[in-house]
Amino acid sequence: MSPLNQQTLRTLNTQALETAEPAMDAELVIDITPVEPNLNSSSDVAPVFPCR
Amino acid sequence: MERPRLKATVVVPPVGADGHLGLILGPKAFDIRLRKGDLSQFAQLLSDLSGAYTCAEIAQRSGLSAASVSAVIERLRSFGLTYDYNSSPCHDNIDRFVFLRAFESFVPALRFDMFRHPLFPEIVRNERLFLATAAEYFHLIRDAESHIGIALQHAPERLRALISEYLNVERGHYISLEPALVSAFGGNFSLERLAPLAATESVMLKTRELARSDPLAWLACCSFSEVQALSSSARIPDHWSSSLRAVFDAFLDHAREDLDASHGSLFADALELTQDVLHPSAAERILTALHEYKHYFDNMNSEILRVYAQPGAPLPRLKQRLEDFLVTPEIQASSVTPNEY
Repeated sequence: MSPLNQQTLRTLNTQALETAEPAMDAELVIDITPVEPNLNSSSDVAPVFPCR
Repeated sequence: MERPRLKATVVVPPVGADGHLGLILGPKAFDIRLRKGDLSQFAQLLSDLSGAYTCAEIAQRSGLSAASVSAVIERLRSFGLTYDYNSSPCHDNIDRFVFLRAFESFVPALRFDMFRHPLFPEIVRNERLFLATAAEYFHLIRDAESHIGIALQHAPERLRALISEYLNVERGHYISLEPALVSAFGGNFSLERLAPLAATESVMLKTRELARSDPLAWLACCSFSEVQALSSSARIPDHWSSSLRAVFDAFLDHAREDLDASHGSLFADALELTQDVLHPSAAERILTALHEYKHYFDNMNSEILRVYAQPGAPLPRLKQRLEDFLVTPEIQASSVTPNEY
């Protein structure tokens, strides 16, 4: 299993399938910028559940 | 790099406005901005960074030029996000406190990713789904005595006192949740008849298997899933019934007690009791278990959302009886014992 988040990757893969073109030798250039992680949970309720 | 592999990153929304995608690796976060190409091509490339393919194969699979693939992979490598899956494995022992820092750097990102599962925003909008989620997590809480007991049987001597203390705190802890659940469900049935979803049961079985096979990895997973912090604003909608609010309050009280007992630091406490260094294969087992355990919870949360949204899905979900499968009502009284065929 890929270490990526499954749901995000599934969404991205779906986009890839929908928009993929047969063209070869396409170009891809990325920039990577280190940032401060933003790990604020969007749900206050969620942490109540998994504990034993 | 012969067969590039993306490390255990979590894909998240970017932090900055001009980023297209975020990646988190342990304590580090990165925004990715595409200067040329589109997100679907980058997603395809990320999918192929599994360690199975060479750069040439990735170029062929993705339709990207070999030069683009090499450059992007080199860029990811320069930030420590990829490595060569064909490279020699690490053979060095790891200092336990160095390892603890590595472990603790992965937990927040994994918990963040776990809690942004689509189930959680939904349970504060849907009373039925909230109750279903509470019932499924009740199974995990009720199972604590079982997996802690198994760990106690299989743990090395030096960890037994810690595990015994954990067992003492968790023994019967689920009982405080029962009155609120019974009241919220109504009807007339015993909670002993509640049946977990298969995905919930798989979390329970995985937990027991870790308890049996690798007590240190089990403690790591328990630490991960135990409450680490609670928001003072955690609440369900005010207009919900008092019986549902009582269920939420019971779970909140339970979480507070676990927080007070510092169960989130079980793994750190365990490492204090182990040898000074960890063998690399033990370290690999623990971090793999942690990573997979999070996926077990993702599967469980996905199944709660899928199953209980189906029309006709029973709630409460009671154990099946033989009669569920009898097409005709006739059945002969039997004189054989339950385990006789």
